[in-house]
Amino acid sequence: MTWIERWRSANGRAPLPKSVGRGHAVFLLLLVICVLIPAMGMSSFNQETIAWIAADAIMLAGFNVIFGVTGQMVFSHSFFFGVGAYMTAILAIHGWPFGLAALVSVATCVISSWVFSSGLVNLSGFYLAIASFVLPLVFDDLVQLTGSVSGGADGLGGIPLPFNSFSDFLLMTLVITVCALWVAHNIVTGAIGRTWRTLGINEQVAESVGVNVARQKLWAFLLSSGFAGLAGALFAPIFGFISPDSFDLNAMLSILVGAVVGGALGIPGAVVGALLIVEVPQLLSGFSTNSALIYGAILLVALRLIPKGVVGTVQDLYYRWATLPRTVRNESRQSPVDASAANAPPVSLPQSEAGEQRGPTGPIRVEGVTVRYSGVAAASDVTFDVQPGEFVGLIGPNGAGKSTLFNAISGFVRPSSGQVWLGDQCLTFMKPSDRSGLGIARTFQEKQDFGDLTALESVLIGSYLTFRGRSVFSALALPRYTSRERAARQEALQVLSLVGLAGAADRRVSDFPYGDQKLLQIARTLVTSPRYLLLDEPTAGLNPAEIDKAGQVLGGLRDMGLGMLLVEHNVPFVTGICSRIIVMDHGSVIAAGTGSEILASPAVQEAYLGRQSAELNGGAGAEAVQPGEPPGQAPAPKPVPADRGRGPQ
Amino acid sequence: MSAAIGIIATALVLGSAYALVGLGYNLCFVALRTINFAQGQMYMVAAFVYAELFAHGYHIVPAVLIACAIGAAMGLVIERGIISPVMNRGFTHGNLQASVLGTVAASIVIQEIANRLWGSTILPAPAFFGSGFVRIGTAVITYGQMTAVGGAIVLYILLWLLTRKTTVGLYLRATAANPVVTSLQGVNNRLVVSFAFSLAGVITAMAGILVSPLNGVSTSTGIELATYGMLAALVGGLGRMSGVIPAGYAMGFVEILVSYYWTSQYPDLVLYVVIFVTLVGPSLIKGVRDSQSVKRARRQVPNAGS
Repeated sequence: MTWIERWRSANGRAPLPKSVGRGHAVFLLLLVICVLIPAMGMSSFNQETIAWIAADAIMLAGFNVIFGVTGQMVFSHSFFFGVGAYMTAILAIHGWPFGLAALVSVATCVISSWVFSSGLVNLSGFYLAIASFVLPLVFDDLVQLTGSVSGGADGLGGIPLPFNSFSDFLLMTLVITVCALWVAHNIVTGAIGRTWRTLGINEQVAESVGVNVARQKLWAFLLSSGFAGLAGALFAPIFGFISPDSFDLNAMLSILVGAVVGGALGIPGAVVGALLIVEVPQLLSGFSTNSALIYGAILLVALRLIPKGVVGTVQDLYYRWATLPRTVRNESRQSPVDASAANAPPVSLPQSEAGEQRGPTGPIRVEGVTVRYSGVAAASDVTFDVQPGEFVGLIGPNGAGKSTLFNAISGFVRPSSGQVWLGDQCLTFMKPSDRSGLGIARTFQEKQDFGDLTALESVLIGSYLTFRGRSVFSALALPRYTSRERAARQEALQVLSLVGLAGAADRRVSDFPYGDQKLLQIARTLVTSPRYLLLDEPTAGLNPAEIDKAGQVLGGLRDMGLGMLLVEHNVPFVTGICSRIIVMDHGSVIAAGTGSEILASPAVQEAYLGRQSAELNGGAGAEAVQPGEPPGQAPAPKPVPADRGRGPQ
Repeated sequence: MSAAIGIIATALVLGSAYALVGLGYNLCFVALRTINFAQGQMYMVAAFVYAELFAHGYHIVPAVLIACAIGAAMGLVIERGIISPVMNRGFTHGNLQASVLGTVAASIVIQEIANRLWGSTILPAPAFFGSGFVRIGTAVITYGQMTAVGGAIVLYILLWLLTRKTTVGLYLRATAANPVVTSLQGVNNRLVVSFAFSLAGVITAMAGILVSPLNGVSTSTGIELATYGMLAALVGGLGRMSGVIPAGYAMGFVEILVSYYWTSQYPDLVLYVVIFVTLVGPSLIKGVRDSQSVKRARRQVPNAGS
């Protein structure tokens, strides 16, 4: 019986949360509106403007996916927009039906962005920004190079409309737009979007819950380019004429303006941004012939005033209003700490499908692991194991190699020699994300930034693997996905109640005190249904009350039969909770045993207090007190090196 | 032979410009861990100021001083007015994106203003020591080329002395390494950062002053220098001052050789290929090598399949 099953049998299920993936009604309503708009009998100028806004909304939705949600600084979007427009235009001029031309354009964009990104997904930050920055710069050159088919710098005219009347084309554009945006919205707000947002915030956290970072970045990028291509295909016939000017660096600037001012984190922001970048130049057309200057100025002002964009700012305001402490409202919202007190266990289970049918069982074994950082052995020939259900503490002075070893087990560091095993499965060459799938979950020592994610969302990140093969269905909010999402939310709420934070599930992570953020980390690892929990200094920087709380939570997990490896500086905490303690110094294991055994070990005392102190305790050389050591401490029979090195690292 | 000397001289001049602008990028990166995308436009504006002042009858020395002062002022304004406030606010995923967005916007604003002011005119800029030249065989090397390369070398040495041998340089490097510790030690980080951006402005302005006498000043140099200088900084390794200089000269040689032997019609395309190869190549090679070594090690362990 696994710890999960025991946990399950001990506790009832939490109620299923409200249904997710609602919005079919909104979607249908929008579709009806689309049908009505072209029938309103607007001037052709207005119809063109609306079609243009629709195309730009699709384009910006794609850009928000890669730039806002996934957080990658990609400046190549206008390039793919242009590729889509030119492909469609050229094919349509050569007599292809519009639908086929558009399909081919989208495929071209996806494939070319795949080629482009296959080398670049490993790049991040500035390198990606600069590598992609050049694509808009060369668009002009490419069009001129292919001038015989693309019309060169003078532009390409005579692009046929797929329908006889523009209002029919507008109808088609709007229907496609609503469908595309609905799909994008479902993806962004669903499990995939959550994963992508995690990538943008913290790649290591994503990796630690089983996300293949490079692959997910690639998917986000392909989706974004596909949307750019679709937008281009819809854009080309609107005016019947395109020129490279529409897709150069200034076009990229207008995309940035739309994303920033509208709000880059979601699809509603893309619609607002599209309205803006089409309407603003028209409003200002009498005032200025060149919009780049105005765009630049708008971007600078918006970055200062509303960096989250119109939509993000409104969401912020709503969040602040909704979480105001107020006595008037029946449902009084409490600060997370109070809420946690009110919601102390009923402890209940995370139910996981991935968890029960996972590969090898057995102990984690570390065999002769050596890790070198450019010649310096941070850990040398370390061997130990962690049995299922066993709580093992790993202590040692700063620089002893604990964290290195910890990273070697979780996969963030590859040992120079030696192996890490889970049962009879060798883990040494596995990526961190694959180890997570085998039931080894880790937390991080430092505080993690979670942007605007709520506590519930930050925990749901951990359920990534349980969406395997289902997350695609989130695009259409199909039951196959929504049922999983509801179950995942239920699990997340249950785990939150285990760590005592269920009452504050809708608060943003940044609102929580430091200690509760650490508990949220533990909660996130728990929804991955781990067999072993690797905790990196869970009490660092916590106050005594928070340490007590963490101790209770971990004690509860021990009783449920979860195995754990705990790297800590707080020795009383470790001795209180771990059945076996391993002491490291200078990269090697110097002692192992129960709490009292290792505290009595001379090697441990030497490592913590220095050679003289160790001799002192052995009764030798009472005069050799180090200047830094208070003499009064010396005669104590067994100095507990509790407070050495405690505190934030 | 004379063609070779001509190629080398031109490449060295271009390389000096790229290296100096790359150093400017690098200084900003060291100071704030961000890239000032407006660096190339600062180069262009400083060169225009220098040329305009000369055209209005100023002597070279005050013209150089004023252009440098303008460069420093632009660096300061961009840092204080755009990068720092925007980075304090952050963007959806933190301040890196925010600063990049801010400086991209600034670069385009400066570019547009310059386009309004100067349009497509190409202003001649004066060389320091007149328009004389030296003959080597049949090859001709102008004083301007010699001044550009020599001046760049002097600037490298000055910058090296400043960062390595002075207290200010120590503060700068220490702030780059750990701003929290330096501020605890009483270093005014904000001042150090502003100093770095002003210094980057001066270096960039000097690059414009030294190199523009050769081809004149035009608005298109802004974006050109922005990308090539950035590339020099990237290829040399962001944050590694010593890598930028050889990278800058390598860029100069690549550009000249390509335009001499192939075509000068699509410089951006060539640039893009170079960027792609330099950025992607190493990671591909490293990836292949890593996966091979992993495969080798994996073979020795039973049950290590992925």
